[in-house]
Amino acid sequence: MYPSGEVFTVIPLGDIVPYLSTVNAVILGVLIAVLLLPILSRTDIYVEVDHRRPKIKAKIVTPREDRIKAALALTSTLASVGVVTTGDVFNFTLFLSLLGMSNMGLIGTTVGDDFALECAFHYGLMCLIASLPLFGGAALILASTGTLSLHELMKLPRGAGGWTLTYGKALLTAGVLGEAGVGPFYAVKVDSFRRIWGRYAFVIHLTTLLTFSRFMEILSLLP
Amino acid sequence: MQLVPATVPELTVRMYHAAVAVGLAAGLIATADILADRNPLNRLTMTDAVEIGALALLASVGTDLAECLILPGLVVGLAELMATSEVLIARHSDPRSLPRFDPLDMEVLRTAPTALMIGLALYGVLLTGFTGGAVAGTGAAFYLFSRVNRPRYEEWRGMESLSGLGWALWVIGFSLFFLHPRYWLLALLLAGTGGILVKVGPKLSLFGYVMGYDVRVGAGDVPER
Amino acid sequence: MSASEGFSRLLLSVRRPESMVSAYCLLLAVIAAVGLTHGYHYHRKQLYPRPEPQLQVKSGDPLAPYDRGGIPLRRPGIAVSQYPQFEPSRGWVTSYLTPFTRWLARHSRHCGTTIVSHPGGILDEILYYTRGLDTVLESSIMFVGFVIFSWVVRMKTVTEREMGRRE
Repeated sequence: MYPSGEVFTVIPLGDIVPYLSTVNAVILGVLIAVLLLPILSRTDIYVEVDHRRPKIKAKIVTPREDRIKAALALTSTLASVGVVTTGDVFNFTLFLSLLGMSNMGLIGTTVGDDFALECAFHYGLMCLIASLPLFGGAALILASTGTLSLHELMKLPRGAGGWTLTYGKALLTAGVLGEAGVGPFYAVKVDSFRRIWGRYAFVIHLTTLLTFSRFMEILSLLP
Repeated sequence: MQLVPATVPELTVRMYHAAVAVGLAAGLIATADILADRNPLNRLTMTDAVEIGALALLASVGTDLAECLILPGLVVGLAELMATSEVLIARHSDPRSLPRFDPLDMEVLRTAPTALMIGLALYGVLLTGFTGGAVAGTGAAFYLFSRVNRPRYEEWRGMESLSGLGWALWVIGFSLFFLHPRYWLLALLLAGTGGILVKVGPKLSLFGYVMGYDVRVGAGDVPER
Repeated sequence: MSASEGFSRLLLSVRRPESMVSAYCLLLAVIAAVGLTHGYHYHRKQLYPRPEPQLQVKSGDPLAPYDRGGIPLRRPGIAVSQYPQFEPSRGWVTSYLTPFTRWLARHSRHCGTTIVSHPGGILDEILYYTRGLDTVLESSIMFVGFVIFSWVVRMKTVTEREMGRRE
């Protein structure tokens, strides 16, 4: 029995078998519904109000900047669709890398804001460093159980893999925390995410948070 | 002789224990260094050492599957490193303060890059796959590095769409494997030859093209022949 | 300085982007240090196992480290995959060699070292077929990386005016 409820459909792509279950379908629906909001909104002037020193900052987003941000927001959403539906641990880490990469690009392509570049650089560093726990965790799970498929890992008895699997899970959790910027790092990253100055800002928030809720399901699948 | 053993051999298991320790130690040293030094350039270079730790952990499994997982791991690190370093350059550089240099006017600089590019591109086509794409792309990048010969941006723009085309070919090959398993040979050739060769080559050449802008050239001083 | 002011100053120093990287590295260093003190377990039954290192090289096999059996276009090779029921043409890519590689294997004893760069072989079977989605994703990541790279170069490092200058 899958912890995320009944499985509606599986898409067999060789060794990687993505699946759609009740919880995943709900997450997917929220994701696509919220993506429609920036697509439908047409605002392109953004105003920031600083309450401490009374100051109002306005910015007009050029069509050029808006276009690359739309492309990167779409990539980010597609990556989180993959994260939500994937059925393989290593595939999950790759989708997460794609997500981190496009989120970094969303911050870094802001024009006329040097602090945005600073934030994008440090977010990129986080993504680079997070690849050690992500890939290392997947490798340790593979070494200790002999499989990467979530469908097979679920069938293993509780306690299979021992300390190696527990350590792999810890590494994987650390990787997800860094790559998606959730948990303690969310408080810091919110400041970087604000630097997007545009309608795609909440795409980042949404994809990273839904990624973590999916990771909770994966953690409960692992023995 | 047995080609594929039923279980992983004893020697691989013994090497696994050492490899995990090496990977974790590499990660520990690199992260400690990032903690100790706040210089952004130093942090960027040390993340490469973190990547080495990740690759060591992947390689420690020691099966054919592990060897295949290394490739995505390597490429992900490479792509992220490139984008992040470009963001760092954009943060700290001023377009008006680029270094200026005067190119040498030598016969060999005009003729050799073309010959080298043709040779490397032909060898890359012969090799195909990732290696072939890298070899052909290196040839194109070298041609673009030799700045006297560099074409204008508008003439080279088609290469970017070519790489998108290569990506599409690859995805077609991948879906053909599952939609029509009988045509696996066509799918393999699409993915291996068409996809990767067209994909890696133009990207490296684009890289070389962009790199040329790090130096401001007084190319107008060199007479066209 | 009151306690609440000190606390908010601490929070302000933590929310700088470079402190985020430091905090994350501290977490990772602690995890890695804990990991170094333990031994690790290896499950002997793995997917896609390979023979002992150097075994095929010593026996003089021309396809040395990547020989997994099979005859090109006649008999599939051995690929121990996760879901054989979803892979009807499993093993055929493993045994396939291009005509050039076949010629090379007949005339050279070191063909195996170049087999990774020709279509066919166990690595291509895993990369393109059984775990093809990984490779498609990997190329997409490279694609996004190049998009960000070239956009930042064109808009920020080198401005539009510099890009369009006459050469």
